[in-house]
Amino acid sequence: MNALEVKNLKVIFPTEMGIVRAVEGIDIEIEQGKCAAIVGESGCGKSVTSLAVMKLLSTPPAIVRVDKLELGGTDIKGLTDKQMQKVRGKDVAMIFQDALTALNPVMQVGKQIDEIFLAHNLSDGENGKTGRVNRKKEAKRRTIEALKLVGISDAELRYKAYPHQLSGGMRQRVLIAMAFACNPNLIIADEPTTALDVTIQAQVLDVLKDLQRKRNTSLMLITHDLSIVMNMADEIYVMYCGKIVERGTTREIFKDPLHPYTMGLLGSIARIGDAKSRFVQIPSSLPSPIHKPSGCYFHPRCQYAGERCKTEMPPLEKLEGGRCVRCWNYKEIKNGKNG
Amino acid sequence: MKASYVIKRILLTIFIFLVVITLCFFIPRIGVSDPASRYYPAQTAGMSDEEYEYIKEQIRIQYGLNGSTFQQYINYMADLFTGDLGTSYQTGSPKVIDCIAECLPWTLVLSVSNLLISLVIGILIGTMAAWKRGRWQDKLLLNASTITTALPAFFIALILSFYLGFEWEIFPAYTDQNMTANFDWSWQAISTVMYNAALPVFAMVIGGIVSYAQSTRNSVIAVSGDDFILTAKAKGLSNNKVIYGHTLRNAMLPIVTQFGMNVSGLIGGSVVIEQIFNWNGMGTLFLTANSNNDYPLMMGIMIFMSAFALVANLLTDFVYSLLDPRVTLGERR
Amino acid sequence: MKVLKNVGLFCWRFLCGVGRFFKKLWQHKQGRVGLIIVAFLAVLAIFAPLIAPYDPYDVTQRAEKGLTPSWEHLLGTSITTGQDIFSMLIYGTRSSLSIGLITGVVIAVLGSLLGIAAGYLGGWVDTLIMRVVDVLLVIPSLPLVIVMTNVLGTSYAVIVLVFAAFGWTGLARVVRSQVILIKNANYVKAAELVGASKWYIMWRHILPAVSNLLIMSTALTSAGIMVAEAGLSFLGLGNPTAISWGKMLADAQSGGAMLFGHWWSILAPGIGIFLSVYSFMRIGLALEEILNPKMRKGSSMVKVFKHLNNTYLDEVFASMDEASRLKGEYAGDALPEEVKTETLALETYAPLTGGVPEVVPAEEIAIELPAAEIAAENAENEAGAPPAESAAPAEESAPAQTRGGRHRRSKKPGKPRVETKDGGDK
Repeated sequence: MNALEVKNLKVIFPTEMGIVRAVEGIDIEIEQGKCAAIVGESGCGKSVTSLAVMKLLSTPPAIVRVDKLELGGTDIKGLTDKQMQKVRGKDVAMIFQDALTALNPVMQVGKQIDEIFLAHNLSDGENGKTGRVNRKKEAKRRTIEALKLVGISDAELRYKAYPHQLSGGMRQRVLIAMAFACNPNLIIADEPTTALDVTIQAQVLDVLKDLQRKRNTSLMLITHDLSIVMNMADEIYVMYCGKIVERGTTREIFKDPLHPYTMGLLGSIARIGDAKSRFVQIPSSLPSPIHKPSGCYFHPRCQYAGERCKTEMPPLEKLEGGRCVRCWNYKEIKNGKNG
Repeated sequence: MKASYVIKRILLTIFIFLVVITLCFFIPRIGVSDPASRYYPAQTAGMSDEEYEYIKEQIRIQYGLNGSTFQQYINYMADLFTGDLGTSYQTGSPKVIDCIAECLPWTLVLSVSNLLISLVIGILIGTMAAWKRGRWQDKLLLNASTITTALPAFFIALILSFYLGFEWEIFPAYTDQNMTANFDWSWQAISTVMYNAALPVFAMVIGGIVSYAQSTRNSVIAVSGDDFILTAKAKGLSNNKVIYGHTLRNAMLPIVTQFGMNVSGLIGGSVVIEQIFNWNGMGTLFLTANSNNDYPLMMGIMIFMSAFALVANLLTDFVYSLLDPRVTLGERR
Repeated sequence: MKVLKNVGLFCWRFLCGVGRFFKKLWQHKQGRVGLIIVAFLAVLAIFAPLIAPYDPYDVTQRAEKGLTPSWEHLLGTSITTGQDIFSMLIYGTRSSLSIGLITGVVIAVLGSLLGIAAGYLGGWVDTLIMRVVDVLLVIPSLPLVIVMTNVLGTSYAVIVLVFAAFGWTGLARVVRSQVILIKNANYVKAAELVGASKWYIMWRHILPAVSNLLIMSTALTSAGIMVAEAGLSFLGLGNPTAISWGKMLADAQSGGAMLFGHWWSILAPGIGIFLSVYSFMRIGLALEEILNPKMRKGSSMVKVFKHLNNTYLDEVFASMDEASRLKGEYAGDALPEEVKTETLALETYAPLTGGVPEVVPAEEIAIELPAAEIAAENAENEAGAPPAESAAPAEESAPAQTRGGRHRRSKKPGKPRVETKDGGDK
C-alpha cells in the first residue's frame, strides 16, 4: 500500500496575463515509510504540488484537476473541505519553509500545537475525562511531549514562548513537532531547511530523519537542494516546468543521471573529494510559466538539444526498476558520456 | 514589557504634555499686545489717565492678565499643578473645570455612540467585504468609501437635518435645550437624549462605518495571505477556528491602532456637527470661548482635549503591547 | 552653454515624465474619472468670470434675496445676500481648488523635507522632528486651527499656513519610515561604500523613491484640506470676503434655507465640495493602485475567472496531457480512458498562497516620472531592490490612515523596526 498516490495532477492559475500552467500532469507514488524527494528550481511547481496534495489550493486562484489522489489507500479526491479538515494534520501534515512566517506571531507556540490535538479530538483524557479543561490539560501535556521529542530543551518554558522569541532552528523544530503531533501517515516538508544556517540545517534534518524512521512515516521532501536529498530520500523526482523529467532511486539518480537537467543539478553541488575544477551550470533561467517553449521545455537550456526536441515533448519513458526519464536523447547522451 | 520602557514612555508623555500646555498658552496670544483690552470700558470724560490706567489694571487683575506674558504663564502653570484650570470670563465667572464638566458628557454621548456603532458595524461589513473579495459587495464598499470620504460629515448632517428634520419632521433638527438642563436619569430623559442625538450620530456614523470597514477589509485580506493561515489550515482546523482564532485575531491589530486614534480625538471631533444641531457639547463651548476671547476657557478645553488624547494614546499602546507580543510598550510610537 | 543644455535636458525629461505620468493615469479607469472632473473644475475656476452669468462680488448685481430657481437665476439667489447661487457655485471653485492644491503642495514639500531629514540624518534631528510630530498629533487640530485663524486673521495665506502647519505630520512619518527602509537597503549601503556623498544619495536614491509617494499623498491631502477648508468656512472662520462653498452652506443654514425648503441652496455647494474632493481622491487612489500593483490583483482575479468556461478549461487541461503533446506517439502507459477529471471544489475564502509565480512585467510596476526613472535605472544597475519597493508603503496613505500600520515582524532581530505595512515582496 502506498502512503501517497497521485495520478495526473494538473494545476493552473488563470491570470490577466494568461494561464499559468503550474503543474502539468504529474504522477507520484510514495511507499509507506519511505521518503520521496521532489527536486527542482524554484518556480517549477514543487510547492504547488504539495499544496494540491493537501487540497489547500483554493479556486480561485487555482484550478486543480487530478485523476487519482489517495492517501494510505483512501481516496481523498472527492472529499469536501469539511471532510478534508479531518484528514489534514491527522493523516497528512505539512512542514513549511519559513517557520517565522508559518507560525502565528501573536500566539504562544505551545498553544499552536495544542490546536491540532484539540481539533482532532486526540486530547480526550485516557481516564475518560472529557471536560473542556481536561482536554486542554491533556493537549498541553502532549504538546510538551511532542516538543521534547524534537529535541527542544525546557519544553515547558518554550511552550509559552512566542515565535519571535525562538531561534530559527528552534522554530523549525516546533513546526516538525507540529507535523508529527498526530502521527500522520505522510508528512510533506516544503523546503524545510532553506531558511536556516547550514549547521542548524543538519541538526533539523537529523531530527526529521530520525523521527521519520522511528515512526515509519512517509515523507515527501520538497527541495531545490540536492545535497539534502542524498541522505534523506529513497526516491527522487526531478521536476522541471511543471513536469517530471526524471524519476529514480537516490542511488540511481546520483550515480547515473539520465536527463541533462538532472546532470546540471548534480553538476552544481560540491562534494568532498570532488576533483572537478569548476561547477557545471545550467545556462539561462526557467522559462515563464505562461509562455513555455514548444517541444521539450528544457530544450532552450539543453546542450544536447536536437531538432526533435524543439518541436515534440518527449514522453516520460519507463525503464526497468521504476526508473523514468523524459528525454529523446538520453541513450545517446549516456553513450556519448561513456564513450 | 520592561519597567524601563514604561517609565520612559510616561516621562515622554509628561514632556509632550508640558509642550502642549505651553503652545496652548502662547498661540492664542500671538500678536495680541494686551488681551484684556476688549474688556476695558471707554475712557469717560473727566477721567484722568492715571485713573483710567488704574481701572485697566484692575480689569487685568480681574481676568488674570496682569504682569508680563511670561509672568502670566508661570502663574497659569502654577495654578495648573494644583489642578486649577482658572476661571472663565463668562458672566458669573464659572470655573473652567465646571464648564467642561457640564459639556463633556453631552459630547461623549455623541462621540462614544458614534465610535462604538462605527466600530461594530464597520468590522462586520469589512470582514464580509474581505470574504467576498472582488465581488460586488467588495466593490460597493470601495465605492462607498470614496464617496463618503468625499462627503464631509457636516454636509451629510445638513442634508439629514433638512429632510429628516425639517421636511419630514421625523427627528428634531435642533436639540431641545431643556434636555441638557433638566436631565435626571429618568427613562423619559434618556429617551429624549436618544431622540435628539439620532441625527447627529447618524451624520457622523456614516463616514466612521465606512472607514472601519475599509481598513478591516484591507487588514483581513493582508493577513489571510500570510503563511501562518496556511499552517492553521494544514493543521486541520475548522474554518471558524482559522477565521476567528488566527485571521481576525491578527487583522484586528491595525484596527486597535485606528480605534485608539479615534478615541484620542473623541472630544474635539464633533465641533461642526454640534454647531449644526445646536448641541451643547465641548465643540459649542469652545466656539463660544473662541469668539469671546475667553482665554482660560479656550486653554482649558484644549489642554483637557490634549490630556485626554495623551492618556488615550498611552492606553492604546498598552493594549497593543498586550495583543502583540512582538511589540513592547516603549517601542511602538 | 553646457549648463544651459543640462537645464534644457532636465526640463525636457521632466516634461516627458509628466506626460507619461498623465498617460498612465489616463489609462487607469478610476484615474480618468478623477482627471476629467479636475479638468472640468479647473476650467470653471479659471474662466469663472466668463462662465458665471453674474459677478457675485459685484454688489450692484445682487437680486432679491431668496429667489427660487428660474431661468434668470438657475439655482435661485442666496437668502442672506441675494447673490446668484449658480454664479457663486462657479466662483467657489476658485477658493476650494486653490487652497486645496496650494496647501497640498506645501504639505508635500514640508512633509517630505522633514521626513527625509528625520529618516536620513537620524540622531537628534530625528528625535526633534518626531517629538514635534508627537506634540502636533496630540493637540486637537481643529480647535487649534480655529484659534490660529482667530489670532492671525483669515486671509488665504494664513489658512494655507495653518493647514500646512498641522497637515505635514502624517506624510513626514510615512516618508521617514520609507527613507529608513531605503537607507538600510543594500544598494544604498553599496553607494555609501564607494564613497557617494550624503547629498548624492539623497538626490539619486532617496528623493526618487519618495517622489511617487509624494504625488499620491499630495492628491489625497489636497482632498482632505478641501474638506477641512469647507468646514472652517462653514463655521464662519474662513476668509469672509471670498466666496467659498463652506460659507455658502453656512449662509444657507443661518438664513433659514431649511425652514423655507430651499434645498438647492444646500445641495449645490455640497455637490461642489463633493465633486472636488471626490476627484482628487480618485486620482490619489488611482495612483496608489498604479504604484502598488498588488492591490489590483485580487479584484481582477474574479474577473478572470468569470471569463473562463468549462470547455475552454477542458481544452487547457487536455493540452497538458502527454498524448496531445505527442500527437499519438506516446510510448509509456496509456492514459486512462475518459477519466472523469473534476475540479476540486475548495473553499473560496482560502488565500492566494505561495507557489504562484509572480508575473508582473517590470514596466507595470512603476510609473515613470523623471526622478523615478533614475531610481529604476539605479535599482536595476545595482541589482538592488526593484522600483516596486518604492510603492510598498504607499498603502499607508490610504484614506483610512491607520497609524503605524500593521506591524511586520522584522526579519532580522535587533534591526530597528520600521513602521510599514506589508506591501513589499515576500
